[in-house]
Amino acid sequence: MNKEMQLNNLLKRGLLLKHKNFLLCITFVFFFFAFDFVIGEVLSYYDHFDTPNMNSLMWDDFYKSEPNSIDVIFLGSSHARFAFDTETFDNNLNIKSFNLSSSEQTPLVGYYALKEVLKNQKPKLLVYEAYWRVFGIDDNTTTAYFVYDYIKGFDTRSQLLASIYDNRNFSSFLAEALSRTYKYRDSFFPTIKNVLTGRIIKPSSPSKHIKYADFTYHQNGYFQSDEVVNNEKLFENNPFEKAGLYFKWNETQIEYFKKTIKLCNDNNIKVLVITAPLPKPSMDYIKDYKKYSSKIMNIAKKFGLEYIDYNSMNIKEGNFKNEFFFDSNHLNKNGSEFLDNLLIPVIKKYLN
Amino acid sequence: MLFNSFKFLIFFPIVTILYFILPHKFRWFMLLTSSCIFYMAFVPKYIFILAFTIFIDFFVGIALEKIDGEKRKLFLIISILSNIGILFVFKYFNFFNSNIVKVADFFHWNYPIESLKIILPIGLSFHTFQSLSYIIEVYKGKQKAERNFGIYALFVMFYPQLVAGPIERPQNLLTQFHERHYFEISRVADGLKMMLWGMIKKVVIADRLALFVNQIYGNPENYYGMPLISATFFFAFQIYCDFSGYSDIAIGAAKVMGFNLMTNFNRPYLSKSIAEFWRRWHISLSTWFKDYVYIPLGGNRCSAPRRYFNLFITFMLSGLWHGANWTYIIWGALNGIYQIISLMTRNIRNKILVFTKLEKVPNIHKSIQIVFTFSLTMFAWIFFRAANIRQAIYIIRNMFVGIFDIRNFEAVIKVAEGIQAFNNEGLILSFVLILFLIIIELLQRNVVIRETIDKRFPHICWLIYYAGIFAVIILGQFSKAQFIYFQF
Repeated sequence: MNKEMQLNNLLKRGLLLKHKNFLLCITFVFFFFAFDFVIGEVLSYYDHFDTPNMNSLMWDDFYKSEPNSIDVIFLGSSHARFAFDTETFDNNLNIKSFNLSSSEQTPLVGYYALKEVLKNQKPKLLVYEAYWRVFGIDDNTTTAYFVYDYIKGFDTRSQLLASIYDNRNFSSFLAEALSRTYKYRDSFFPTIKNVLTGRIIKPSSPSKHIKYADFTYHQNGYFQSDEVVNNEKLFENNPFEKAGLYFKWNETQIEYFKKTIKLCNDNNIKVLVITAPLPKPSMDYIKDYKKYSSKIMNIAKKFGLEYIDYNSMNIKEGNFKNEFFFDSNHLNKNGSEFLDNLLIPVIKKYLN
Repeated sequence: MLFNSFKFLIFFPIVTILYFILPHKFRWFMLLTSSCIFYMAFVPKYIFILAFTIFIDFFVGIALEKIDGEKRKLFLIISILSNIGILFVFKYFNFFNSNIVKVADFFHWNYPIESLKIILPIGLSFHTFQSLSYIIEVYKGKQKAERNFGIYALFVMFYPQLVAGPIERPQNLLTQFHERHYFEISRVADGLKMMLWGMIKKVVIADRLALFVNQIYGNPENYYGMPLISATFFFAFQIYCDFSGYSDIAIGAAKVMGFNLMTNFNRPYLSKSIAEFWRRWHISLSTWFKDYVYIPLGGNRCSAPRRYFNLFITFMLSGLWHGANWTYIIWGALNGIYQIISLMTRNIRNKILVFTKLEKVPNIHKSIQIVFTFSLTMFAWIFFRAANIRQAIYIIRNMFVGIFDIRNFEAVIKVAEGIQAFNNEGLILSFVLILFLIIIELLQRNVVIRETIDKRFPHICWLIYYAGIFAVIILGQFSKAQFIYFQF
């Protein structure tokens, strides 16, 4: 009996020990994630301490919009970000528009941005800026940050994350998604500096007309630059000199472009596909532009969509002078005004 | 896959969990499969080269046990030639060929053989030496030949030490694959702590120092004085932290599963002589060369000149093992020369010791010895890191130019400012991290810090471990920088 009791006690101790070890492991992991969250939150607070992150501003503005209040959505790359002044369209067409373009926004990333939009908005029109180069991007991770980090929908974020699992830099992206501390680790030293110099509370910033280096964030996703491109940027150090030599379509991006159109069709949203203009000296480096433009045209035609290529127009007619750009890629304030005035009657047609 | 990669962060726990879940008889198979996956993450087709050498050595090992007489030597030679042959083709052929081309050009000979366009299989030098160690030990009768092909393959391919060591002896590692290992929380925790320390050394210290070192050593002709000295000083710690960090991760990962790999580094920069340095640095390689090259040549059981010759050859070969470049050979030879001079001047140095009464202040004497030994190794590292001899000579000729000029110190700061991801904080942080490392190494002379933390600070030990983990997350450099010794 004694031996039996001893054996039972030993067994119980063994089980308790196993449970204790298991509980210790779970507790250690739990506190790790708790510390990670707290440290990450502190670092994120001091991230972009003086000037808010521009993508954060844009999405914050979006989430402040009343449900079902937005009539027109603009999606596209930074070309679109600087091209479409939402204030111009709103004032001239008596609508509310929002520009959710971001740097190098690929069709894949744009698709999930639109999915997030459709959760509480029912726009009538999507103006899709099709910059052909983003259709050749294989690794979406860099551009995905500009949407993933700021959208609130857990399901949309998860779907976006899952869609880029095979991208080259996915592991780094996933690490940032799982660990807030890892994501904001670059603000560790700025945080220390701010705390040591007594800058503990973030200065409040206006929600409109926030100045960055070469441009200003206006509102509702539109960025504006007053600068005019110089000859050095256009002719001597034009990035298209090398970048223009090679381009290959990425089938995934084309698929997501088509998925975006189908998503709009399913939600009774009209789609207008356009390509914003580049300065002529940049286009001189692009040898096969007609092919790229034709491919986008064919996809748009297949879905019965109108495609306006302001780039081809500019190559032919030269109506977008070099002075309308602030660098080798993007329209400045005057250029954006010129383009938007051309677009207003087109958009009006769609809204009627 | 690299130890400091996200893939390994997923790979390691899966393999470890599977190891403990599976019955003992299936564990070797799972580990072998995992090791194959680990190896094939680099260049998949090179697994066939590994398979070829494993196949030959396995059957040679059995043959050596069964056969007597001169035929045993024949089998030994077959194995050595196949292993060294593969190493020569992939690692040394182009080096020797290019040198022959230069000689042929000089004498206007017609030399038709072109260099091979092949990539060096990862870890080739390491697993080749490990295989050779097995065959030689079986030949000597000190190790029984392994009869299970899978277990032998696992001995060569065991993933924690497959690509950068430690170079294990069969007496230590092979037997462990037959042992049953149980999950023990204290051992697992200890292994994880070793891995954490290895990560800190690798991604926080080594990869950070690498940013500065690469900037200077990438174009040394653009610098003189303090930037060259700083870069060399940083490199001394970069290579130590990189390699010992890898070894710690490898040893820790093995320990989690219950395997004990040999210690590969034992605070080498606290050595008081070059001889002691080589007893503490890359211990698995230096003991390999001692047992299989130095001692067979005669070791120190011969005349003094013959001993010096043995030392010189052994270290030159060690240099050659590190890389197919004259800089590595010179680095190895230099270390050999250091030891020869040390032996030749022993009596004189003892007399100087007595004359200066340094023997009466042992701590000062020790400190001088440590600083002097470190300086010698740091000087030798110039050859190890430089791209070629011309660059190494430039660095040596210009590293002391203008060092008393304050602008030279400012040049170091300017270089740091120009390196993205390094900045001003990087320079200060680098020195702080090196100081932190030295303090830890000094403390580890008397205690094992991992055990001390748990015993003396039981209530806050978790905070210390969290601090270590977050140091890796926040301060770690996560570029695709490989471990330096992967290229060997």
